[in-house]
Amino acid sequence: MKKTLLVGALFITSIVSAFPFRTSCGTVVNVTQTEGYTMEQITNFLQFVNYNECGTKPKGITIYIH
Amino acid sequence: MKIYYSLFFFFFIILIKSQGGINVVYEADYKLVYKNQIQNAITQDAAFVLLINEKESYYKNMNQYVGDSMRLEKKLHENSPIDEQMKYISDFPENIGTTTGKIYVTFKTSNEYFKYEETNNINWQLVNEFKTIGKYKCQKAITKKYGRTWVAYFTKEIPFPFGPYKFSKLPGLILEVFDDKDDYHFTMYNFRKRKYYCSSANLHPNAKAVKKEKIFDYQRKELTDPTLYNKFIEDPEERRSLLKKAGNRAKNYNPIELSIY
Repeated sequence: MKKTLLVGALFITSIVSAFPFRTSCGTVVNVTQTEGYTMEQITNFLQFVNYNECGTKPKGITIYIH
Repeated sequence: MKIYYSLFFFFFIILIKSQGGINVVYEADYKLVYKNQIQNAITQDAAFVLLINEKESYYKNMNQYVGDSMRLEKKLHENSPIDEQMKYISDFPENIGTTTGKIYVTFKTSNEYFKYEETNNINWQLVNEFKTIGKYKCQKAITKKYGRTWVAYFTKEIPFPFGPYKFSKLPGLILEVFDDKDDYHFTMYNFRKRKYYCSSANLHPNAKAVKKEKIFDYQRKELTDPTLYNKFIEDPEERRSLLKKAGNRAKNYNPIELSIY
């Protein structure tokens, strides 16, 4: 169980340390510095980015991992 | 022994009060259709919950209402996955408690929780016009508040002087309220009896207290705050481009409140 959690945590960390974020209107923004921030802070930033790019709040999120 | 019971009861009441909960007797749910840009606005919608008892109401965005309930139960936290967090975000972070005398607002900026109070001095002019909303006979009322002219329809059949956002003090529940440009239009879509104590109504009763004048229009200011972009974007070119777009959005921003009072 512990192993699974650790692998899960590493997987999440590796996804969000730097990633391209596709906004709800299709533009892509490269988020490159996320270390030390909580998921809530990153989500909050993505909400700003989406509003600036599209004029709306995001309905969901697309993160590319490859 | 009696004194122990009294002390226990006293501290229990303090604990309940400091948690910022509300005893819910009725719940009204509202749909808001809004345009938060002046030009080329995209019409969006959001749902809100109004928790009601005989003395007070508590209003918050539906996503936040569900999210806060999950946060209280530790099913959602600051390091939950981003796609999970996204389900509970809102353009309207304000939680609003209303009594006949005061309006209490708690909200989160990009990195901090704040709270402020307003005197509840809204002044309505009742109009001799009526319409039926759902099964309720409603009367029209008009007010000027927060830089807009607002039209409301309330019903005496639900005798609670509350409504969505900061609108209250009519002789019945507000079922519909909108500004004369129809930038913000609230419509009640559900009303039902409830009987529970909502402990997650305000999870941040100890937020930093500020004057409304200090914090007014903070969302427009935050849009162009460079520190936010410096934190997450390394490429200076991409940062410049994002901040330029942010500047245009901020100029074109159309918040629900155009003035403080």
